[in-house]
Parts: sequence; C-alpha cells; structure tokens
Amino acid sequence: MTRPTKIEVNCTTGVQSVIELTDEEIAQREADAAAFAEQKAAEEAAAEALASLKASARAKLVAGQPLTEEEAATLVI
Amino acid sequence: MPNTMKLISSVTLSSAQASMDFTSIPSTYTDLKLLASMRVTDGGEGTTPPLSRCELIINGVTTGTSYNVNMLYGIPGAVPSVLAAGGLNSSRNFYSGSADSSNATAGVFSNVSYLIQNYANSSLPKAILIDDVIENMAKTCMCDIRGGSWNSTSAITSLSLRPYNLGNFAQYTTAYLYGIVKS
Repeated sequence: MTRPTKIEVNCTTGVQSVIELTDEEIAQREADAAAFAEQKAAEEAAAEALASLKASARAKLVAGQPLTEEEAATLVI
Repeated sequence: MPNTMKLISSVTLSSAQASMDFTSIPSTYTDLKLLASMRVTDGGEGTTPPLSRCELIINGVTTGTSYNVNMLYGIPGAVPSVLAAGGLNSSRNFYSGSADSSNATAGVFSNVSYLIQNYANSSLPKAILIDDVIENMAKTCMCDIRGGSWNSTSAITSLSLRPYNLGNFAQYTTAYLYGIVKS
C-alpha cells in the first residue's frame, strides 16, 4: 500500500520536498481523526439537545404551560 | 500586498498531499500571515456546508493543551453561532481553518487567512486570528472567524496545515507564508 506523503518547504533554503509520512505521523493522524469524530459527535448531540429544548419551550409558551428551568434558559439570557 | 508583507515561501500542490509543512521559518519578522486556498480529495464532513476541517500544527506540537480557539461562524439560513472549540484538554480539537471537500462545486477552494502575532517571541504565548470562507457558489457555504492562541512561550519555527479526517489536500491547493515587518 502506498504511504501518504506530505510536502515540506524549508523557508530558509527554499527547498521543497515530498516526503512519505512516518509510522508515527500516520498513527498521529489516525488518533486525531478519531478524537475529532468524537468531538464532532458530542457537538452534534449538544446542538440537537438544545434544539429540542427550544422547541419544547416554544410549544409550552404557545400553550400557556409552565416551562422548566432548562427550557426557560434557552429563551431568556 | 503592502510593502510591510514579505513573501517567505509558497507552495502549490501538483498532486494530493497529506499536509503542507513550512519549516525553518526565519525569526526576522514581527508577525506571520499564512494565506491558504484549500480543497480536499474526500467528502469531508458532509454537504452543508461541504467542508473538511483542518488543523494548524505549530512546531510539530500535538498536545491539546497547547492550543485554544473560539469560533464565530455563519451559514446562510441559520443563526450565527459561537463555538468554543479545542484546547485545554488532552484531545487536540483545534478548528483552524477549513478546506472545501469533494462535495463542493468543482474547482472551488476555501479561502483562509491566518495571522500569528509576535511569532518569534520566546517569552509569551502567541495570539492567532483566523478568517475562513468555505465557498460553494451556492447557499451551502460558510464563513467564520476564530480567535485563539498557541499557549507556548517557544518561538514559532514551523507551521503545518493538514485535514483532520485522514484526507489529503487536492491538487492546486496553495499556501503562501508572509512575514510582516513593522515598517
């Protein structure tokens, strides 16, 4: 399997080189991708929870029902 | 460009690459400005907007606590949002710029500007300002501004840009590194 490569520019000499990634660099990329996927899932879950709270708060307002503290916090700063 | 901005180095990809690394950055300037126009070869994170987040690695440091960023972003049709993302934990989720993914309109690249102030200072952390536009020539685009810092007193000698999700930068992706002098 072909190793991924990167381009490196030496700003002092101006030399540009295409270099194969090392095992460590490949492992770091994979770890970062996994960490990012986890973070993104957490963000999406939080956004979904907030949207759900807001929808619930809105519906209760319209219906004249009391809001929970969490629901009120989405409407009032 | 203003005459206080001097081109240090630039790169234009003739083929897909996993990262673009600027090394041995001279310490003779006051600030650094990195201008990047990026696209990746994979589908990134979806279609709305069609982007792949990237990261800026400084001096090869991959420790999460070394970076901090907050982001204000806007997508057409949505309320602008603020996201505090990254740093201060062991996982480095430093959202530093984005590339158009393969889901974007063909031939469209992102436009990202990084300003790193006082980069050669060896006693203070470094402030970083990032302006980012993910263009798609359609409604599904995004723009954001990010303020952050590199929480190290070490002078910055290398910068590396790479996509977050194991993707590669596409052919014709470019990056221009400028040094800014006081006058």
